[in-house]
Parts: sequence; structure tokens; C-alpha cells
Amino acid sequence: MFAYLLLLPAGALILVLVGVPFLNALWLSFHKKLLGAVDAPWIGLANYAALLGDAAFWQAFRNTVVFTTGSIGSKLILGLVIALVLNEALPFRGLWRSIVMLPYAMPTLVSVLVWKWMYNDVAGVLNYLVSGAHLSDHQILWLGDPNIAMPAVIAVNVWRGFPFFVITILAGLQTVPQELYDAAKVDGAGVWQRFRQVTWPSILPVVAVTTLFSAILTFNDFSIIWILTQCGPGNATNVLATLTYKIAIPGLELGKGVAVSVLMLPILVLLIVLLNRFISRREEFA
Amino acid sequence: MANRSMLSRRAFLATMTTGFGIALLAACSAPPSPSTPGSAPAGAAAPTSAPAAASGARKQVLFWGRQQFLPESNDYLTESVKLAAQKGGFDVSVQLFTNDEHPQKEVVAMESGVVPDITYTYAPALWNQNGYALEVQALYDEIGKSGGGWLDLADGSSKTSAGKRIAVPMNNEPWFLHLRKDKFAEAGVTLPFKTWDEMIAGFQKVNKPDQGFYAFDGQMTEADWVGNGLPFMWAFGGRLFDKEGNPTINTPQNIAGLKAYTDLLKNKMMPPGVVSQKASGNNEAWLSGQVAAVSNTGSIVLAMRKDNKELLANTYLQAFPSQAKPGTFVEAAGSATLVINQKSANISEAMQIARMILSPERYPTQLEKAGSYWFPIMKNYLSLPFFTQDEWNKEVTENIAPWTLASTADSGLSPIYDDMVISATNDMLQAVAVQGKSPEEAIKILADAAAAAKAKFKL
Amino acid sequence: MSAASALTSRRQHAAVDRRRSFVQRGQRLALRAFGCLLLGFVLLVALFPPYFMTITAFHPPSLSFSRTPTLFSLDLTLRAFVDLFEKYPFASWMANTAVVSVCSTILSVTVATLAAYSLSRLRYPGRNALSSAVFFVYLFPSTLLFIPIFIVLNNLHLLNQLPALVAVYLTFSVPFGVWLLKAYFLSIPRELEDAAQVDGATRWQSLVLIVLPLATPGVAVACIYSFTLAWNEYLYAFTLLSDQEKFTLATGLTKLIFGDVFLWGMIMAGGVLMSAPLLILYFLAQRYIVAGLSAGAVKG
Repeated sequence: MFAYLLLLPAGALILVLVGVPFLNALWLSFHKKLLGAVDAPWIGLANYAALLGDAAFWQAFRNTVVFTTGSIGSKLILGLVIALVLNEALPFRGLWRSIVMLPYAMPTLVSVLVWKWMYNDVAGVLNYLVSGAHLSDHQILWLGDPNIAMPAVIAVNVWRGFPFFVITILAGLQTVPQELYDAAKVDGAGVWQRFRQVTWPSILPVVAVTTLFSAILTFNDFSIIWILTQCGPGNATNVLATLTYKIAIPGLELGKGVAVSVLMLPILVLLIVLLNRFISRREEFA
Repeated sequence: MANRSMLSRRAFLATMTTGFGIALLAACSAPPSPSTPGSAPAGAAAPTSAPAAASGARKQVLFWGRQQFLPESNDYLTESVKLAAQKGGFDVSVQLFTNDEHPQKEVVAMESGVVPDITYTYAPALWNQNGYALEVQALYDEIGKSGGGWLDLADGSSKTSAGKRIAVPMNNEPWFLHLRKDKFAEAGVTLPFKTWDEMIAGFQKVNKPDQGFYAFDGQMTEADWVGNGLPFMWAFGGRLFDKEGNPTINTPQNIAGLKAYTDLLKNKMMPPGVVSQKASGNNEAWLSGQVAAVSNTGSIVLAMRKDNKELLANTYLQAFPSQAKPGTFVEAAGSATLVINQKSANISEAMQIARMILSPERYPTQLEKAGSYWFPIMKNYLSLPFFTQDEWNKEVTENIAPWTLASTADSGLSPIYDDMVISATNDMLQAVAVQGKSPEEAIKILADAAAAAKAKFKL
Repeated sequence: MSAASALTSRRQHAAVDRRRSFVQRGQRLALRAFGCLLLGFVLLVALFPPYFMTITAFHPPSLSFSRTPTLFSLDLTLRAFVDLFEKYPFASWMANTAVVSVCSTILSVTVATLAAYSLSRLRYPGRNALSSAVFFVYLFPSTLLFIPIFIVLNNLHLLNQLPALVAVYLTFSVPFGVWLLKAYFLSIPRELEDAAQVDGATRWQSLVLIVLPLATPGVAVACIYSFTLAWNEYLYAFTLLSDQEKFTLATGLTKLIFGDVFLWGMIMAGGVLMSAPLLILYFLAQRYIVAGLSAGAVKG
């Protein structure tokens, strides 16, 4: 009984502020509900059918996959390499670690606005540097060229998120006992082999958990893209999270917007199930 | 280790207690705001905006509006509203929102039923669509009479396609062409442009893309479409709706207008960055000296008045010359309007507020305080010194405002129009500018969106 | 094997070893150099936007646009900061954000601690299911929920109240806190508590006096995560608050954008003031974070 009591605050909170709204929203997705309108006729799966037949939906889906895998892959590799470097005995290590945390510690709204300002094609710093270094003879449309916009947006996401990977992987690296390295060295293993045989297996659980966790958050991420490009140019950076918002709020079709979110659920469920699997497996061994 | 944990335990307990102390203090010092009727118990099942006044208690009225750039303007408006409240013996709460917040706040309000009694809005059609707009023909006539009569612009900004008067216009927010006198003179072009062909020829002469200087900055997104893409269509004789409110988008004239607009980009007369520019794009292009012409409302003039008087001296303002009827001009104008909530319990109070804001005692100063954003929409105020003495205000009032039409002039206020300008205009322009489709194909996007909107709103 | 051949083979082995260690040392040096270069580059990239933000904040603000951005300037002024405090209730915004963040952190960690203790120490049916269920909260993006939450809070008459905002933030930070603290509690040996209980301590006492102090690094990480979340959050603050005096920093900063006019000077100044407390917090706590994550959650 006591056990359930301890769970009560968390449970009640989540039920009222997440469960009820979600069920409400799910119910709405089967109706034709316009924002602000009073009547909402039942239309069954019509919203879903319309979405699955809409090219814009599939483009958003593709963009989401590109955005998520591109961001997570880059964050993982960058985070891993930097964590490995910071694990070494460098002078002023604490200072470097603090600086590396800067992008993560800066408020998202502020850092995205700064990047938007830096990406500006007329007065932006990046174009100023590029033309100053004579790397290009014309202005680069960082957020205006459909081929460059997605990488540009991914770059901001990676900039913001890689410190999370650095810190958690660094923490994982520090739990690897020195004896394992020494044993490997005695066996004549080189740097790369030591990494492959000692480091990587030890940190794999941490990497997996961090990656999945970050994937879930990146998949749902809305504000970075919305502030930077508002889904442009030509829907090149429209992802499912921004599509939901666009359909529901400016487009006023609340039912349809919710349907997009519901269609995102299978992938999220998969990610969360994987996350859970990794965590509980480690807890078994704990 | 034991030492460390004891230290941390102490520290932990200390933080917990101070934390609880702060939390307690915060809870005590943040009482519920008394002037937001939405949070007071409403009781009734039907969405109302304010609780019915108990006998003897003062009425609480909620006023929503848009935040203007100049704080003096916002303060003066708030003052007018409070004055009305003082005179009428009721309490009022004024909430002003920025351009980005306001539309979202409005829809969320309508969704939840927490609706203001009177709102200064740019989306009156939406309020009407959801059953909140009061019919205000009598108020409209009364206020118009006190101001010497409404300009033609007022009609299209305040009446639905069915002829219901749902709003009282507050101002004329015209768009106008800004032209660089010095750059055009350098290129041997005389201003003003009297015909469309003169304008295009002038653009060609002044255009120097290799030097990074372009003729015109017109965004290829939904931002500022009303002042850029739409006048181009109008100039070619195109119209979006007929008198009954049916969309007439896929016409040769509209296609010609769209083609003329996108050709400017194709022929390198627009900076390449226009494909992703939002509302501030053409401001930036103009203020940084990248282009010879832009079309915008008063915000650029305001910025120049503030810290670039030299550029202001080199700025000439005019309306778009018409291509279909040479010798005439076309120009679009927006209009902020007052809408009264018909489900409110405080309708007469809301009307008092409307009368006060637009009264001959308050309105002229309000126009002045708004800088070059608000132009008069009633005839008496056209001759105010503010609009006849300042060189640029004069140009707008005398040469541009008379040609302005509400963007909703064709159909009247309509949710179809509002819906179209949110993203279909963006899709149409992006189709040509980014995806390389032809104007004929692109215009279909807008036409389809209008048809879809018609179905969406069951009209 | 003869002594001579044994000596030769030993010498050969030694030579091979020396060569191998030489190659390895060369490898290590090259890797180190590469690593340091990369770190330097990353640090530069990490540092540049905050630096640029600071420079713009201290630059004389103007609405005009220059095509050459200022990268370095000695023409510094506090005008943007002064304007922020004079023209907007910036001080209120900071106070509100601080209050919301602190309250949300304290409550979140408390609630998470209770739940984590239950899930890690006590046995009852459905424990594993509830453990997994905690994560499913993250299935629902805020863009999906913010309107239904608005409606729910409207029905509870809790709109435009900072406490309601705190409650909403709890829903994001509690699941993460539960997971983290559960991992911590599991790593603390049960024997300590059993010993305490033999001495007559109640469950509460053993939780507060034994388990929590040992889980301090985990609690610190949960606090920091929760604080950051509440401090930065925009969408719900915007939806649920309407009085300008009640705004948080995130919603307040967006008030500096007037459609097509961005007051970059003031926005950056606001950004500096909004980032500074977080950066200080992270700097002070970075030792805790790494130690905290490695001691508990990572080891499981």
C-alpha cells in the first residue's frame, strides 16, 4: 500500500496532465474539428486517410528520418571522439569540459536565434567569414537553398546536443577499470584494438541509452526547425513535429494535426521499447 | 567517504529547507490576478467571456489587441481604453500581443471559450466563422459619421461576403513601394513611375547583380504577400474573388501577375535570398542597401526615421502602377479592426471602448503616436498636420492611400482568404521559385487551396 | 635451445618489442595531436555563438542593418541592457523564471524520489510495468498536448497561474528523474537500510537519512536537468500565461520581435542575461554531473 502511495504524486500528475489530454486529442483525431469551431462531426479514419495520401506528409516523414538519423549519427560520433579526447589527462581539463557544455547550457530559444542571425544571407556572420576567406564568390543561402537548409538545421541541432553525449560517454569512460587497459597493453594491443576490445564494449550500454534518449527528443523536436526555417524552403525542412503544428494551429485543422502526431507514435514506441530493453538488461546485471 | 557524505547530507538538507522556503514565499506572493475574468469561476456551460456582474459589483471587461512597435502608441491606446472604462464605470484589462503570438492566442481562446469582450484584430473573419462576431452596422455608421465618413477601404475590411458588418476599422495600413532616389538617378531613371512598363524598365536599368545590388526585394514566401505578390496580380487586372465570394484565382490575369513577380527573380532582379525570407527580409535588404526598391508598410520608414535619416532622404514612396489600366495605380492595405464578442455580457461597455478609441478627441493623437504605421481611415483626419506636413506621410496620404484597397476588397472578410494567405501563397511561390514549376501550375496550388478552404469551412 | 640462440631470440623479441612500442608511441602521439586539434576546433565552434551573442548585446543597438557584422568592437555600451529593464518588466521575468525553475526542480526531485524509491526498493505486482510506463510520457510531443492541456487547465481555472506552469513542467522532468534515481537507489546496498531498520528506523527515516545522502550526485543531476528544462521552456509558458508581468524569460524575449522588426541588440542582451545563470550553474556543477552520472546511472 505504502508503495502505491509513494507512486501517487507522479502517477496523478502524469494522468491528469498527460493521459487525459492525450486521450482527448486522440478522440479529436477521429473528428473534423477546426480550431475554435464548436461542432466536430465524426469522420472516422478520414483524417488518417487524407494524410497517408498526401505527398507533403510523406515528404515530412522522409525529412524526419533524415533529420533524426543525421543529427543522432553526428552527435554520437562527435560526442564519442570528444569524450575520448577529454578523457585524457590534458591541462585545464575542467575548463575545456565547461566550454564544451556551453551549447547545451545556453537556452534553446537564445541559441537558435543567434544561429538564425548568423545564417542570415545578407548580414550574417557566416557569409561574412566565407566571403572574407574567399571560399565562395556569392552569398550562400544557408537557410534558403533547399539542399543546404537541412544540413544547416542539423548542424544547429548537433551543436546544441553533442555536449549531452560527451558528458554521458565521459562518465561511462571513467567507470572502465584501468586494469583492463593495462591487460590489453600487455597483450600488445594497439590504440585501435584497445578501443575496440575494451572501451567500446564497456561504454556500449551508456551509448545505447543516450542515443535512444536523444533520438526520442530529436524526433519530437519542434522549436529549432520552426524558428530557423519554418519548414522552408519549399518544405525541405518540414518534419512531422512541425507538420503537426502547421496543420493544427495556422491551418486550424486540429483533428488532422493530432492525427499526424498519432502517426508518429509507432516509431516512438519502437524507440522507447528499445530504450527500456537496454536499461532493464543493464539492471539485471547490476 | 563518511565525512563527505555527512557534509553533503547537511548541504542537501539545507538546500531542501531553503527551497521549500522559497516555494512557500512564491506561492504566497503570486495571488491570482483579479483582472483576468477568465480565471474567475464562470459557472455557465456556454462559453462566456466574463462572469455576469453580481448586483453592485463592477463589470470586468477584457480587451485584446496587437502590440505596436512604438511603445507610445501602445500606451496611448491602453489609456483610451481605460478612459472609456472610467467614464462608463467598469473595470477593464488590456492585453496586447506581438504579431507572432496574437493569432495563436486568438484561436486558442476561441477553442477554450475564454474569449475577450472586444478585440483589436487582423482576423475578423475567423471570429465570425466561430460565431463570436457581433453585428455592428449601427456602431459603424455612428463612428463613421463622427469622422466625416469612411474611406472606401473601410468597407472591404469590415464586411463579410454575406454583407454582415462585423468589425469597425481602426486604421489604414497601406503598403507602398520604396524607391532609392539616388540609385535610380544614377541609372538615369526619372521617378515617379507612371506606368508598369516604365517601372520594369527602371528596374532593369538599376539592376547590377554582379555588384550584389538588385532592383527589387520581394519575398517568395507567404510573408508580406499582401503587399508584394497580390499587387502584382491586381496590376495585371487579376482578382482573387468575385462579388459573391467565389474564388476566381486561376485566371490569365493572375497568372500574368504571378509570372511577372517570379520573373524578377528568374531574371536576377531580386536577391537570391528571397526564396526563404520572412517578414523582415525586405526590411533587411532595403536597410542594408542591397536593393533599389521594396514594398512594405510603415516599419521601414520608422526604422529610417530612428537611425538612418540619410537613407530616408533618398527614399521615394509611391503605389504600383497598373499594367492593365495604364495611368491608374494599385495598392493593397491592411486594416486593424475592432470586433465585439456577441456572446459577451458586456456588449455596451465594449461599444463604449470602441467609441472612445475612435473618437475625434483620441483618434488623431493615436494616429500620430503610431508613427507611420497608422494612416487615417476616416475622411476628416486626412488633413491632420501630421499627415500633411511630414514629407513621407504626405506622399502616402495624398498619392498612395487613395488607391488602396483592402486585400479582402473582392470578397469581403472571408475565412477562405485568411486560410489561403497562411501557407498556400507560400506553396505557390515556392513552387515557382524553388521547385521550378511554371506559373500556370503554381496558380493551381492557390486555387486548390481556396477550394479546400471552402470545404474546410463548409461555405 | 642453446644459450646463445635463447639470447638471440630474447634480443630479437626485445627489438621487436622496442619497434612495436616505438610505432605505438608514434601512433599515440599522432592521435593525441589530432585529438587536440579536433578539440580545439570544437571548442571554437562551441564558443563562437555565445561570444557573438555577447558582442551584439554590448554593441550600440540600432534598427539599421549593416552588411558587415561586427565581430569585435571596443565600442561597448550597456544601452541594450538598460533598455531591457526600463522598457519591459525584465526583472519580473527573471524573478518569475527563477521561481518557476526552483519550485519545479524541488517538486520534481521530491516526486521522482518517492516514485523511484517505490520502484526500486519495494516489491509489489505491476512494479516492472510501471517502471517501463514512466518512459511512455515521452511519446507525446508538446505540440500535440499543449492545446488539450490548455483546455484541461482552463476547466480547472488554473490559467495564467505560475503554479500551473510548474505542474506542467513536472510532467517532463519527473520521468527522467525517476529513471535516474531508480538507477541510483538500486546501486545502494540494501544491507545499509536493513541495518538501520534493525536499529529501529522507519522507512521514511531510512530513505531520508541513509539512501538520499548516498545518492546525492544523482539528485544533483536530476535537479540540474529539471532546472534547465523549466528555465528554457517556451511553448507552455506562452500558451498558459497572459499577463506580461507573469512572463518567464523565454516568453518575454519573443516580445522583442515585432513581425518584421527584430530588436537584435535587446534580444541578445536578454539572451546573455538568460544564459548567464545557467552557465554558472553548469560550471559549478560539471564535476557533479560527470561524477554523478558515472557513479550511479552508468554503472546501473
